[in-house]
Amino acid sequence: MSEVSLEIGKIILRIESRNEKFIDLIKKDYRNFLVKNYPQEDLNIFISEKKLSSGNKISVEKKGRDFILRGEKFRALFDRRKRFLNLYADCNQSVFNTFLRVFYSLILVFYEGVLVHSLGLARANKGYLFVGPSSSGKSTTAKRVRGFLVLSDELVILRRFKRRFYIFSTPFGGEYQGVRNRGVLLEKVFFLNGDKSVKNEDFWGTFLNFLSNTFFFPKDKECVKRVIRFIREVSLRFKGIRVNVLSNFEDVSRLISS
Amino acid sequence: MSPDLFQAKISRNPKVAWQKIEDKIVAVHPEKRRIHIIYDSGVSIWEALAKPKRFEEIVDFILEDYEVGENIVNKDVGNFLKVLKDKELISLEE
Repeated sequence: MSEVSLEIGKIILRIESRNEKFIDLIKKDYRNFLVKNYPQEDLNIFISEKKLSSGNKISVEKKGRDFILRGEKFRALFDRRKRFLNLYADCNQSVFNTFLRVFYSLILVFYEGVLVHSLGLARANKGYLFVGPSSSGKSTTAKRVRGFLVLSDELVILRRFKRRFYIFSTPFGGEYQGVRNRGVLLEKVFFLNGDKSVKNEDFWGTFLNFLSNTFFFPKDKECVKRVIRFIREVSLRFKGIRVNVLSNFEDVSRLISS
Repeated sequence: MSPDLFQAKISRNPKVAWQKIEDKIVAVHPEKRRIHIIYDSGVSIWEALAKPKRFEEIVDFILEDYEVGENIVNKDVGNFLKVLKDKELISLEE
């Protein structure tokens, strides 16, 4: 039996498998998220190698007290009370990364957080979130900015601790490589759009932009309600600014600095 | 065949997650992955559905709050419930 522990978004995952080579691959792929000497893990994952048919759509459903996660070449059963997940999957890096994204979309609900389609930047312990769907300029901006640490150019973890909101690096990147594990206090939120003008969003604009860019699969009503509540609280605290990073890159740098 | 909107007992779809935020209702159908925002008199209709009701009971509920003619309320409530039904935010029972 081989094992590895990762810390992603301040949640510690202990991952075990009989497939030692696969655990070694995880150690290599997630090297910036490895942890040692932690007091206790938050969640346990046991991976069993299993060839599953392809073509399964991603879904997360509640069955009794368990959650069943399905996707292309993986299936998992998560017992929330025992904080234990059994994963049946092809021992393949891409399958595991997709599983982990889907799993995080579920567990963050219980850790006062969400995964947001966004680019996360950090500088001087302050975080800047650029929220937007595919092709809105997240990866382009990640490659162009200087003097910032990139937390992710695709999916950033947003969590609340007491009354403060933090953003965290994830290993769920797009084109940008070499993300380091960091968490910083959220300072500003931007929404990426095609409009060239810069516009301040009100509560509803912020709320809807956040909600529509939340990476979320659970079909469970209670989970959805928790997400709505969380997004409401973020939107009360931060009013987003609509920007087009592709045509107004200089403006964005100025807005961050202001 | 689905029951007639004007005859059926109408209730909120139990699968839908919703929350009243400020003066609007945010409703999300988890299976359809669609976000719906309900405004103005739609909020009163949604609140009227706290318990299952028939069409005319909803109209009576709205008439208590709005100083509008019954014909207008009938038409508006009917149109709004059709939208809610199409979006599967409500269910109908005989």
